[in-house]
Amino acid sequence: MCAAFRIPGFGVAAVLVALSLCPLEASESHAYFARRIWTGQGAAIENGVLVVVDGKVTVVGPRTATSVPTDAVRHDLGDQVIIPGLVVAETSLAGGANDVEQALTPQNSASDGFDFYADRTVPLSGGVTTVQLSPGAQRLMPGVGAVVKLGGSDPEQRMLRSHEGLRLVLSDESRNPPTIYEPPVGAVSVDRPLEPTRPQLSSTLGSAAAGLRAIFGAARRNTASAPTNGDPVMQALASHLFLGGTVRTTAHTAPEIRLALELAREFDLRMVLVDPSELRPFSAHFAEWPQRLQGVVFRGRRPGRISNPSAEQAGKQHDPWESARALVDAGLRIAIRPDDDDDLEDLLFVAGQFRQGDLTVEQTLRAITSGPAEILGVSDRVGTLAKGRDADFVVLSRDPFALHSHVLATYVDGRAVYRRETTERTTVIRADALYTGNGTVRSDATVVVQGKTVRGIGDISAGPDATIRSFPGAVIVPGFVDLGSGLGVGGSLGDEVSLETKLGDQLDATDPAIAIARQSGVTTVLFGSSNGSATPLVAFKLGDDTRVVGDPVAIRFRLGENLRSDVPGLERTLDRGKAYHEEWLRYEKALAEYEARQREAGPSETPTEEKASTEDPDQAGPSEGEGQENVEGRRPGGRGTEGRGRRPRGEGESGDGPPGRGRERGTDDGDEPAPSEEGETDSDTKADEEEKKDEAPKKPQANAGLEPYRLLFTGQIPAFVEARRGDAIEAALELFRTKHDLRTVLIGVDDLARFPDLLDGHDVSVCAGPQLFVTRDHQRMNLPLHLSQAGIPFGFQSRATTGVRDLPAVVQYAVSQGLSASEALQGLSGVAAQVLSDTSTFGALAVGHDADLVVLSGPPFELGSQVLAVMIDGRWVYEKESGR
Amino acid sequence: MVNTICKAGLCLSGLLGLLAPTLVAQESIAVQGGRILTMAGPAIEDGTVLIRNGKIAAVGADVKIPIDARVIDATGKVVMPGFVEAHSAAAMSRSNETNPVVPYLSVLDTIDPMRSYFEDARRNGVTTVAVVPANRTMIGGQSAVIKTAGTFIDAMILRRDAGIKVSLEPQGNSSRMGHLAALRHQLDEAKKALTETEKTKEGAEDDASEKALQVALQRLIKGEIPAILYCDGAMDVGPALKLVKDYGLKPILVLGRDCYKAADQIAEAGLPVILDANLVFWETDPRTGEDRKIVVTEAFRKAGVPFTFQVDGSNTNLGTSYLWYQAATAVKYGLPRDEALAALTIGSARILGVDRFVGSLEPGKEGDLVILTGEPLEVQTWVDTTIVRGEVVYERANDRQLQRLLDDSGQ
Repeated sequence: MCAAFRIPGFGVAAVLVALSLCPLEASESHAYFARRIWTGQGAAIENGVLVVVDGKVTVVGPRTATSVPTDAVRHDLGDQVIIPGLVVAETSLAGGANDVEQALTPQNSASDGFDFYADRTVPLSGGVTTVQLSPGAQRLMPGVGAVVKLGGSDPEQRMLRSHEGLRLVLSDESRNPPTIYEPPVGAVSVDRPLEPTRPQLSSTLGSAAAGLRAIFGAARRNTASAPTNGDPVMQALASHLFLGGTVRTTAHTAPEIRLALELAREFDLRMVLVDPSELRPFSAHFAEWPQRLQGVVFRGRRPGRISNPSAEQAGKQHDPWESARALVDAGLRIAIRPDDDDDLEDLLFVAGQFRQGDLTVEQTLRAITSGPAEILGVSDRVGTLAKGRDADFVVLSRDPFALHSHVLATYVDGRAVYRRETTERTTVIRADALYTGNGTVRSDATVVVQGKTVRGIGDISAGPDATIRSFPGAVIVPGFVDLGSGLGVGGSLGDEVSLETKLGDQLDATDPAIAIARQSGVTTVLFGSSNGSATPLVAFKLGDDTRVVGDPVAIRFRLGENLRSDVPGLERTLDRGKAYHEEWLRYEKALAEYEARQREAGPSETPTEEKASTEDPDQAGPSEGEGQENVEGRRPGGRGTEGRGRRPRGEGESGDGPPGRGRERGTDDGDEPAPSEEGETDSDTKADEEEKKDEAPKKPQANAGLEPYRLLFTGQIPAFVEARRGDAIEAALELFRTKHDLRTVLIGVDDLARFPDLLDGHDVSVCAGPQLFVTRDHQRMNLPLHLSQAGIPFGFQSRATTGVRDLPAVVQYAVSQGLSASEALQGLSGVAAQVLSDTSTFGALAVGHDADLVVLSGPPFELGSQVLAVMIDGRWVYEKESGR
Repeated sequence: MVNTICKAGLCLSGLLGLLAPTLVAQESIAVQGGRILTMAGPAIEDGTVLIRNGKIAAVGADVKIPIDARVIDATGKVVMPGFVEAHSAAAMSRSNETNPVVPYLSVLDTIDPMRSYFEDARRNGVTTVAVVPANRTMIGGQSAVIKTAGTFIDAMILRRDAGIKVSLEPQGNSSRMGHLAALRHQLDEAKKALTETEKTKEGAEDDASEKALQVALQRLIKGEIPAILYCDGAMDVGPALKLVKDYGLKPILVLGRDCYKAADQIAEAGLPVILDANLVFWETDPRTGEDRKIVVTEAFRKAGVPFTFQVDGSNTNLGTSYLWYQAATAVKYGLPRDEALAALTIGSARILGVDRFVGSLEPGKEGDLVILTGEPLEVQTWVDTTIVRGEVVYERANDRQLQRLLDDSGQ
């Protein structure tokens, strides 16, 4: 019919779409093996299998006695349990709470109010796959319900019944209709007389009864004889009853329930009783109810809520499950629905509460699966797992209603519409070879990544839900480390940066250069100012969130052109750092001795000690520092708190040092008094107050500008020393190695070309680059090759931003000129990390390390090898295919 | 349906024949030397469009120009059909009716040809517009397709019964269920009345306006007049398609922006659509709070649904010039340029059922065209000349308002 409308260009597209909608693909079979399968009818099947072909259940039965099609995809769910998709006998998901003005609107259909395009993940996460839609809640006869599925793509397929039961609300909710109903009036083009205002049903149960009897009577006469005279209410009602539609009646109290039963009897209605609470008076008649009622829908208690009724109400309150068992035993279908649509995701818990009413697991499960499906008239499609039914099912971690049992996945028409997100995602990466970055090459090149970490390497098993990525013919190498980049703040740092600065706080994750830099496989970079001496270096990952892995990760020093001033300045700086470090060492030693003495003195002392500290929250370090808030952040010059958090005790004191403290470069630093002096004056008064026999050692004043030296002098971080000329290198070795015995990494040792033996016999490492070939006096030297021959560990740096990308290519050139590929790779990964710290979790590929890796199409540094993919902290950040 | 169009066409040509001597320009116009985008085949470089008696007489590279023809030099310019605006209430004095059921009203009674809308439309190259009541009336008035140039509305009409507007969006306090129930009730009544009149062969109604209502609704369910169905959200699409199926309506879908979610459902129904004015917007996932950018044109292009644009409901006061921007936006996000231009011309004409008269430059069609200073959909390109039914109705050189505007801005 729309040929005349179609634009030629679009015509082709429309045909293509039409083709793609046809089920051209071959049938799709899946077999799910589970510890137990509850079919929604009868006892559970132990060690069962559920076979699904094209979205329908074909077989369900015990694993041993069931033949599974050979082409079926097999899913072993292990100890998990399968139940049918849950069915809810009444919800307001069609906007039923939004009532129209009229009290009687049987022509309204809830199917018109349902949004098939809304997100239904929340109820699906609770295993609910099918729901009834109520047309309204606060009118006597709000309309006709509908039954829909919450998952699936085609709205027509999802509509199980567009015309379900006609709803009657006999309970209090409908007692307050808009008192006067006025038909729309106003300036209209058609002359219509003003209709008189009229009151609406129903203000009392009696008027509801009388009105309904009159209407049902008229409708019954109408179905029998001539059609109505155009009254939409009568028309709709007559056709609903004529078609044998059910009437679902909400009735809480005994009189309301009685009226419902009476109406059912008088007009021979197929009735469903909804939300009855006062059932006890009828208990003697339950045996007759299966003949008179289609079923009973119970309303569960809201989970996790405290209701607080008045004493009078509470006395009349009944547990919703009070009569459930008796009705089941009488042979009636029952269903359990949550009180509120917000509780749909907790339906299993809501129904589980009914087990207090002596319902068995099977009976309770039935009340949220096959029971409501039968009541709603959709049991030929959903509610049970049997041959020919829709493959709507839920995978639970344990049996339904068992403690800690939760929904792992929900399937509709054989497709997963919900899967519980496990926080630790598992990825398995397979290739043909794996270089660990520590000199080993493995052929069992499988890496199992869980979350951010490498969980295993080699032939080990992963969970069934692991994502598997295979790279046939490819090689896995560790993510590369750039020991000195310009990446970090999206530009240059400019001025000198003092040691108290936490560069990690200033990183800019949005810097577009990062995405470019990591394309070649560099995953970790160091960053810091290239000016000045004694400045911090930070290490961070090039992932989307620039995760900091060391702040500071090293301290950078410089021995420049003027050694005569540089060397003494640097000496003073180091001495001061050392003094600070030693002061803390003394304090820690004294504290340890003091604590030992305290322990020896017996427990009697401890309570008073604790009491004192709780009474006086301002009391500082001298006693136990625990419970002290860190107030360092308030210091004007201080940036944040200490990143490493290794010494909680070290941060207790609030120091009021000058903001510029620690900014000095060594040349201009005065003979500052030892920090402890200031600390003494600060805490003098307090110390006086609590003069005790055995005084706790006084805590030195923390100084953010000197804190990194404690890491340096304990060997936890290295000193990066830039020294280019031969004499500078010698001075650096003398100062950092011979005098202070620090972990030392030399940068820019260009003069090795002139004095190749300069480093021999020294325990130092070298950070080479950006130029790996140095020329001095017409001598061209392959620096890394020379270092490797001299047995000196080395890493590489780029000093670039986007140019970080070229670092592996620069190393590749050094390899082509004689450097061994294995050592080059180690310099880019394992050794680079070792140079920084013995406890780095990046660098080499090893179990427990960060999942930073690069997939290459061939062996590393081969000219034809390409980067296929890069993973940082367990997440793919670059893939050649997608060009991300 | 084809029958209907033919009938409409016959009526129309009869009408035109009657009025032709007074209304249609007698002179011939030859637009010469431009690059011609005919929308009915490949572009013609250095071609000529000859318009005689208000209709296109010839289009091509070697068209013989009669001696009496007024020649317009379009060298270095681009010539294309006038734009067809598929859905606009801007020409109406008031866009919505208060009474919910008024299918017997005609928009023609509300149009003032002197409204600034028309001047602006000509300035922006729009030569044909479907005047449709807005979306707030359940069963609105009858729409009409008219030309954007003329002094008397009767002389501007291209198609009188272009459709009856039906809105699926509930108004006021009514819920979706109540709204749809009322809508169905109206259609049921018309259906019933139709069978009854067919039985008795004569309307028994005394009330003249009630009869007009029934006649209009009966024409709707007989498919004589298209139903212009407005779907506010994606959830309205299903009920709309069901109405089409249940009552045999001839649909034209007008969509709210959220209807992009139902693109596949619409594709399956094989219907072209008129999109919401907002083509690109951000949506927040209610569950995760994540923001997503939605490009409506891409959703429909990927689903294979033909579409055109409308200006009504945009949060701008750009008027008809916004069509240009919308088409350019669609191109930016992946729609081929030719298809975007087709959507503004022949595509809209097809949706409205007037493609036999307008939408492309082919002999026999109405002499509507625009001459652009450069390639269409570019920022620097101006509409230089607009011709409606063979009459020059806009020239940039004589556009005082535009000149004043540009002078003021110091250019």
